[in-house]
Amino acid sequence: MYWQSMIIIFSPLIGAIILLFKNKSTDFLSSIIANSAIGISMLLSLWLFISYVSGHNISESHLIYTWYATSGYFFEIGLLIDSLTIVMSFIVTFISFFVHMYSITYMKGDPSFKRFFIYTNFFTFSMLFIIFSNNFLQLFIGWELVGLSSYLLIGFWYNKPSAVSANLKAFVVNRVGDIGLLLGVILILITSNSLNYIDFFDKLPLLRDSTINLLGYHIELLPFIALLLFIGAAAKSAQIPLHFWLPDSMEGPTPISALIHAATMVTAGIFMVARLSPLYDLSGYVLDLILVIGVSTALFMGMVALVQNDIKRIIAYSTISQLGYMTAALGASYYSFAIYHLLTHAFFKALLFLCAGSIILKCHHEQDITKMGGLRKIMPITFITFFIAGISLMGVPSMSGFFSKDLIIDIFKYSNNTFVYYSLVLGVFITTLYTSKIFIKVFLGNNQLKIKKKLDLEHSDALIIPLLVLAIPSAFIGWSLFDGVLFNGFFDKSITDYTRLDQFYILHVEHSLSFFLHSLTSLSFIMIILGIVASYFLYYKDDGLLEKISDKFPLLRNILLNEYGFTSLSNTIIPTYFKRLANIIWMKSDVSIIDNFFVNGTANLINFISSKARLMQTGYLYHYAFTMIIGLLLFLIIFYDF
Amino acid sequence: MFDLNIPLLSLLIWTPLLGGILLFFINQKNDSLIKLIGFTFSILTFFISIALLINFDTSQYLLQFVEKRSWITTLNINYHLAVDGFSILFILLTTTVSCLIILFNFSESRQQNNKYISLFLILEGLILGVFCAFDSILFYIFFEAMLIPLFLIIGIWGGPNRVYATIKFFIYTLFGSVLMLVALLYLSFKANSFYILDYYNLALSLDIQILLFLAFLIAFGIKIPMWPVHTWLPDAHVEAPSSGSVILAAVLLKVGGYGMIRFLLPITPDAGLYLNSFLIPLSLIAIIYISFVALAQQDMKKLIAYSSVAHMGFVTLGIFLVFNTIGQTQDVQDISHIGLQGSVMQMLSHGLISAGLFICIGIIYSRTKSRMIDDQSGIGQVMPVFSALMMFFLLSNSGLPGTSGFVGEFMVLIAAIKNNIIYAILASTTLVLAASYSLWLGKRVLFGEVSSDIVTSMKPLRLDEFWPLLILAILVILIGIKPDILLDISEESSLNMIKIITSKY
Repeated sequence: MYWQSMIIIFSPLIGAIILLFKNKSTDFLSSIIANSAIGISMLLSLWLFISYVSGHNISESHLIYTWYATSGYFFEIGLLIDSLTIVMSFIVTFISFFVHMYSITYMKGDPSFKRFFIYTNFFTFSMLFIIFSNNFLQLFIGWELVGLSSYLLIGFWYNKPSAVSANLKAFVVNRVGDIGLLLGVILILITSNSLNYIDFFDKLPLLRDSTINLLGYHIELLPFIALLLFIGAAAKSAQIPLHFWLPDSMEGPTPISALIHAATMVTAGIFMVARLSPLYDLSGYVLDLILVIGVSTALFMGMVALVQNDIKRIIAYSTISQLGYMTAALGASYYSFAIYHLLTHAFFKALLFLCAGSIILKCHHEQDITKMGGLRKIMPITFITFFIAGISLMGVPSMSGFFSKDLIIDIFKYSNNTFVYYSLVLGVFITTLYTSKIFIKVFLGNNQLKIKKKLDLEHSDALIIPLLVLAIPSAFIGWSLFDGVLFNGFFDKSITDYTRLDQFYILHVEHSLSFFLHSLTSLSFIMIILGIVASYFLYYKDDGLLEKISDKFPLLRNILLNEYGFTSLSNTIIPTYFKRLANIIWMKSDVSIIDNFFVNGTANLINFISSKARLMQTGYLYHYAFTMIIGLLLFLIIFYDF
Repeated sequence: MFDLNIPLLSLLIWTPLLGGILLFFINQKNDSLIKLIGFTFSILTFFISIALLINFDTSQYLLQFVEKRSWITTLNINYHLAVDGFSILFILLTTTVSCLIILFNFSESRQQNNKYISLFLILEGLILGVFCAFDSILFYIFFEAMLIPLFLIIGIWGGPNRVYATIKFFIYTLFGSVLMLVALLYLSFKANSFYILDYYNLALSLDIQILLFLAFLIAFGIKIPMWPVHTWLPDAHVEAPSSGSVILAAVLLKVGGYGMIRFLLPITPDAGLYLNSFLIPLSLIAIIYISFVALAQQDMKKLIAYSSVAHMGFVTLGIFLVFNTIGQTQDVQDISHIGLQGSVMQMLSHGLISAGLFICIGIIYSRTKSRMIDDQSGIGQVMPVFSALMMFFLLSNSGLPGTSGFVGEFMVLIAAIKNNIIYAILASTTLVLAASYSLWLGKRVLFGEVSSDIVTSMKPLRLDEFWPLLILAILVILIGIKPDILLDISEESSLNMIKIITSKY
């Protein structure tokens, strides 16, 4: 397994390096190199995934090389290969490959075509570096490297001021999370003397009762570590209150939004918590906090999507909201459900973004959905694939998104956590509303932009094939992996929630078919139907109902339009006060007090004293003689023994 | 491989010195000969340092390549050269950066170029002397003498306000080292020797230690520089020519950190432990406060100069945390060792990264004749390769993992969290602050729309500008990916240093 994994990880890196040093490369050649580098990874991952699913489910750890070894401490770069690794690697390489394929057409003619593929290849490497990691150091390195790739790709069009503001924001916000992650990692190192996951998990029973002294308070160690690490996860996976970088990240090219900001990088936080499930099982109140954050993100960020009109921003808020569902599952300690939703979400959300990309291309870079309309006849394939992805996102029974999302909702239904349950069900209604809104405004109605149908279907095969391929898992993967994989002990060796999973299956699921049939009478299905009916009246029948409602609740509308104040907080308030503080420290303290008062002040003081002392050197002989006489007299007075 | 009877260290020091003296006698019109001689001597020095590295035995902490000749016999002062695991790393940094400085701007012609290059070679030789000298008087002479070439470089080829900057720089650093001379003389009378390692065995009372500590701290604290004695550095950087800034930031500051490891740690550990509640806050202030000051800068060079001070905060933090191991368990000692190694790493890494950044700023300045951030925008569209490299150094400067900038900070943070988690929480704000000022600089200078015709007409990167940057970038990545290639060299010396401190009392 060692060599297969090494090739999976490093093939994209080698692709990126070849492209970087290949001076004269045609666009065609660049895309071939980039795609085949990812293609190799994808095929190997697919192979490993199939062999794991068909029963060859083992867990192994390898050392790649020593980063630094010193007395008592060992820093390594290594591999941990188990079912969680394999499923993540399958998701990442599969989506990455088809996004790469899609980008060949999407980025055609861009002067920085090659640079785009260097970045995307490098991103895929960094993400795989995290996924295959067997230790916390490597996790942190990969964590920052995906942040770097995201930074570079959001600001891909670096002459666009909005893009370079968005990427700076994304990087700095992620760095806030990284503080938590880094401190957590170091705390793990000094308390368990090792950074290896397995060593750390083995030492967990010993650390259970340890505390740490924080400003005189004794805090339980493990929940504190779990909290610090979750700060990192919350920033990466865009959870309240560190979510606000993600909508802005839509400044990047659309394939990037599909790959990084929907399917893969933003799920790294979810992946990390699932990977560290032994730690989170022992972290008590932090799980409750995670649950609260997850549920509020799922509900409140979904609501923001309702008032957006930019197609990419709507899907971005939808991504944040769906990540909230995953986080909620983590908070309930059903890590496998979170990973399962991560899996299905990756496919249908990537597909939604890729559809959005071809819509945007077709509409000549218009992104406002209220200006579009009637594209169903002009872009039939996009229309169908968007429909599949859309109903999967809503969670229409039998679709992939249904199986994963309803599982999460059912956790709270059966654990009698009514508040969370109703919030998440309300979230389904909201999801249905905004998804239908895009669908109705873009594909139904009149062709406002007067876009003509061309003979070449949408664009070219490279644009269509990824859409068609991704539509298949968006529709079917949820059901096909349900009984045989998720509930068949697939994650037994990597995630600790298997007993809970087995119980859940026996008590509440029985079988996928009964789960499906059961759901037809469930509250969430009713919500979907209600949502579709509501969106028919709100968005399809153009009779001003929407305006009436929004005029009735101006306060709510304003809150949503301002995204709960996070926009102004992150765009103006924090930067302004930061700069003002910096200026005060510099001008008042550094320049005025330290430099002018102390440093130059000392010099001026010496200058002053010497200018006075100089006056005594008059040059007149009688002055000197007089001084000497006075001096002698003083000596006599001092030393005379009266 | 090499016959070890060759006095490698003398060769190392005297090759650039002789080269520098030779250049004074070359006609300044003969530009290509000047450059050829300058480059030959610096590359020769580099190869000697590589020979040192190859023959260096990393499995032990004892001094190696020892050369001891009687110098001033009546006072028992010796010409005593040697290296240990710490000094060899700084020697390598010095020879590498000096080589690249001579390479940088190879095709540029300048007034009195023979003297300019000659001064750089002399400076290199003197700095190498500081790192090799194990006789305290010899150390002191090298330490003081290296001010002169830099004083001349800034004073002659510097910017419009150079007189103010040079005098400030010279008097400030001279003031510090005078106190050090007193401390060295006191120690030599106590130990009855000028050999630095003899000082390590002295039993000194706490009061004496505190006085000695303060004397050394002022000398090295100004050099490195620590807050609040840092204000000479931005002024000196702003007025220095680009190559002067490079050597100042990359190598000269490291003499301060090296001195702290060589003198403060082993000679006055009790005083360090006693004063630590005041020293560690100074380091934390340097990290946080100076980062904010960097954020407010309008001048690129000042911004990087302040960022240097902030990065040196990590160095001093790692060094001062070592004092807290006194009387502690083995576990704490191991962690302090990681912190000390982290400090060394941070110095080496900063040497490479700041060299890269000052070269980048030099390249911009040579084209737009302005260092102001507001005067440039959108350079990325005109000079894409250059912008990629500058962005790389800015990202490394913000401590990105996979580059050397991360390694030192990470290791120092490990030591900090072991001592007090509050130290670590405060120090880790650098993740956000360093990213803010570094990337914000990149955003304003490299990205965005092209601001003016001056930017549009910027000439593409020349080879003599490209190669130094590329070599530095490769080194930064290499160290970031596999830091133990350097850490292993100083491993034994660092462990021994911890042992000296803890076993003494």
